[in-house]
Parts: sequence; structure tokens; C-alpha cells
Amino acid sequence: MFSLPFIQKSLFVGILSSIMLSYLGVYITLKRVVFVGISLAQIVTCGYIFGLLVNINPYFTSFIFSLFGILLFSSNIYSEKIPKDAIIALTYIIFLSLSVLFIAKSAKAETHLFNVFSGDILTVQPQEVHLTIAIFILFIISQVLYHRQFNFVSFDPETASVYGYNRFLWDFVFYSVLSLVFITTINTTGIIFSFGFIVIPAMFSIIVFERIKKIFFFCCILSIFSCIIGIMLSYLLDLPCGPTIVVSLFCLCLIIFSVNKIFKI
Amino acid sequence: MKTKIIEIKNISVGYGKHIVLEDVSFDIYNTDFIAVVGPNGSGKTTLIHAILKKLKVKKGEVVYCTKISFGYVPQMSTVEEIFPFSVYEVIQMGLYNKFKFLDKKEINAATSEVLSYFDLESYKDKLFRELSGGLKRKVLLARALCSNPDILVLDEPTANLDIVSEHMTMALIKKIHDEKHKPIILATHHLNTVINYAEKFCFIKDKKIKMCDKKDLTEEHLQDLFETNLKFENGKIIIME
Repeated sequence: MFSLPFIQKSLFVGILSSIMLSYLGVYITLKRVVFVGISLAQIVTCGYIFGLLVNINPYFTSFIFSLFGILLFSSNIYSEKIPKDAIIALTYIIFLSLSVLFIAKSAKAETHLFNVFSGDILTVQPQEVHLTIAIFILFIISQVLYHRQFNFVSFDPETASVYGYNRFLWDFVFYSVLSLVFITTINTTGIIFSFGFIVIPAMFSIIVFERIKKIFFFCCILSIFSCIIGIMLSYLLDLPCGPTIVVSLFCLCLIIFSVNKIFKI
Repeated sequence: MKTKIIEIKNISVGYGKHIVLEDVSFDIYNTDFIAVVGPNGSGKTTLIHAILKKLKVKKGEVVYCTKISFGYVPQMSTVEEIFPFSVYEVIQMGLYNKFKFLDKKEINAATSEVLSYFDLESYKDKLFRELSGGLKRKVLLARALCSNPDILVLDEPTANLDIVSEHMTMALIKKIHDEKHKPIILATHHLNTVINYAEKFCFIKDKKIKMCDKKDLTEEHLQDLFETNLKFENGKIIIME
């Protein structure tokens, strides 16, 4: 099975996408901005569907839509009367509603709907593989060069600002990287995959491990194994790929969590 | 040698239309240990942010007489303790200067030096979030000193500490001031915490400040300032009923 070229391509794209998502998921979880991540993914999805509706390259429209989300979430949106959470929730529900409206008015989007949700990773095209590799390289460069700075700004934004860090700029860079990852993954692996890998690996890794380096490493290992298991099951049982990978990931996390609990006892 | 390092000239600061401090002026010297004292919400953090130029002044100006670098200890509530960083990793953050990349050897040498100075070697691998309140302040002080700054600015470094930890932290700050010759600006709402350590006091009341040297800190002066009947007893201020 793994000698089939389309399986190799889907595994490659799945593993790269899941590593990026789960790694960024650690920051999102620890920064307590999980809902921001989910809302940003919804904005990107809405942009993608809009692209299908107006017959413009969906990558381009999801990029344009994501700019709105990046600016909104990296700026200091708050009011004395309304908490930030409410603004994030409002954004999510508006873009979810818009997505549904765009789907209702676009026959093309309606046929793509299932793929947008569950992903179409088994039929991934060479240009999508290239785009994923390009985004992965960009992601690695940003993390190698600036992970310390990201850590500092996330851990102690107040002191970081005294030391000359512009919080808006660093949040902008962080959400830009996250948006670029969403733009590639939503088209190839689907929304469910993107949501799942943003939340699940980070959550379980933080529970099981105490050190930040181990948390990141464990997230990557989880991503690789769940992609292999998920794609294998999806192929053998003829199941939609994205949800199968996410359920495999969750089961794998539960097993590791239980083993860890028993071992600690 | 006593040299002026910061000049605060008739500044007014606030948020939006709300003015917190009005027409405030004083100078900071390289030998100073200033305690900014005032009740909650009086504008201590606002004054500190204005000095650090984090907050734009509405009137007047803050002048740095020379090129100065700051070491900063924030209020604990602004630190995202959920991040599982070790003491060593937290202290190293003091050296992450914007886009300047330091050599790994340089970072490790500077970190080890402050770990030793603050007697934190045995805690270096422990998680910051698992430390006691007093140790957390010690680690943040070590981080502030790591880059060898010209001036230390501490925002409520003893808030929510028990009395023993409070005085241990203050003694450590005094030690840094005396041994490392670092000027210090410290904000607190407890005068009794700093009265035996600071050398100058900056009292904030009704948007104005009153500067006072330790030698001039008399019962009459304080009674006039706080408009209440109080007295000194064993180095403490006691408010009379």
C-alpha cells in the first residue's frame, strides 16, 4: 500500500501539515487563544469558499480573507464593556454564516463542501505538494530564527515590550504563519484535520509532558504516527481521510494518556 | 559619581481623556533607589510606563540624559505562568534583545553568572510555574539583571508575598543596588515594605507626586501627606485610630 505514489504523496502532505499545525497548536493552547485559532481557520475557509463562488483562485481569496483575521486578532481589540472572547465568537459566527451563504449560492462550492470539511488528501495534486513544502520551509525558518523571541513575547509580553519587542508585530507574524498553514491545509487536508491538529496533540502533550521541548517533540511524533495510521485506515476501510486521521490521533492520544497514567501510578 | 540619568519634565500622562498624573517633574540619578508609593490605582504603573516610554506623555517630556538600558520586573499577573519554561530558560529571556543574536556561549556564561549571584543553581532545571512566589520574583530579578542593564525598574515586586518573602525580596533588591551599583525605581503600595530599604520616596496622591528623601521622612511630613494621624515605631509606620 505504501508503495503507491498517491499514498506516498498524501502521507508526505499529511505529515508536513500535521507537524506544522500541532507545533503551532502548542503556542495557541498555552497562549489561551484556541478560539482565535479556530476562528482564523474559519475565516480562511470562508475565503476559500468565496473563491469558488466568484471563480477566483481560492488560495488567493483565502489569503485576502486571512489578512482581515490576522489584523483583527493581532491588534488590541478590547473594550471595557465587551471582552475579547465575545469579539472572537462574533467573528467566528459571522464567517461561518457567510461560508454557508456562499455555499448555498455556489454549485461548485456545494460539490466541494465535503472535501472542504473532510479533506481530499488522497487525491492531492503535485502543485499542492509543492505549496506544502514551501510553507513548511517558511515555517521551519521562522521557528529556527525566532522561536526564542516567540517564547519571550508569549510568556511575558509586558517585559518583552520594555525590551523593544512590538507585541502587535510579533502577534502579526505568528498569526500570519498560522494563516499560511491553514491556507494550505484547508484545501488539502480539510477543516476537520486542521481543527483537530491545532487542539488535540498540544492538549495531550501538555498533559503528559512538563518540558516545552518534549511537548513539541511529542506533538511531531503524534502527528507522524496518526497520519500513517489514519491514511492506512482510510484507504483500507474506504473512509474519508481527514476525520479518520483525527479519530486515529485522538485514539492514539487516549492510549498514550492511559499508559502514562498507569505507569505513573 | 552622582550623575543625572533621566529627567522627567512636567509630564501629564493618562489613558484616552482620563489624566492619571498631572505636571509631574523629578530627576533620576545613577545612585538612586526610589520607591514610588501610592494606593492601588493611584498611577504608579502609569508613571513607570511613562519613564520607560511605553506610554506616550500628553504633556512635558521624559529625557534620557545618556543612552540607557533597562532591566524590568513586571507585575506577576502579567506573566503567563502556564508556559512550562525552566528557571534557566526564563533567565535567558533577559538576553533576547530584539533582533540581536547573541552567541550561545555568551548567553550561557551570562545566565550562569546570575544563577550563581542569586544562588539559584539548584533551581535552574525546575519549572518556573512550580516555584514559590518569593523564588519567582528572585528569578525575574535575575532575568532583569542578566543583560547588565543601566537601571532596574520593578513594578510591585513584593505584591502578594508573605511578610518573610517580602523582606527577603527587598533585602535582595537592596543588595543589588549596593553591590552592583544599579539605580532602582520600584513601585509598591506598601510604604512599610520599602521604608527601611529605599533612599528616596515618590508619593503619588491626587494626580500629583511629592518627592522626599529618607532623612526627611518625618511623622509630620507623612501625616501631612496621608492626612491621617500616624507615628513611627520600630522602623514601621503605624496609623493611629
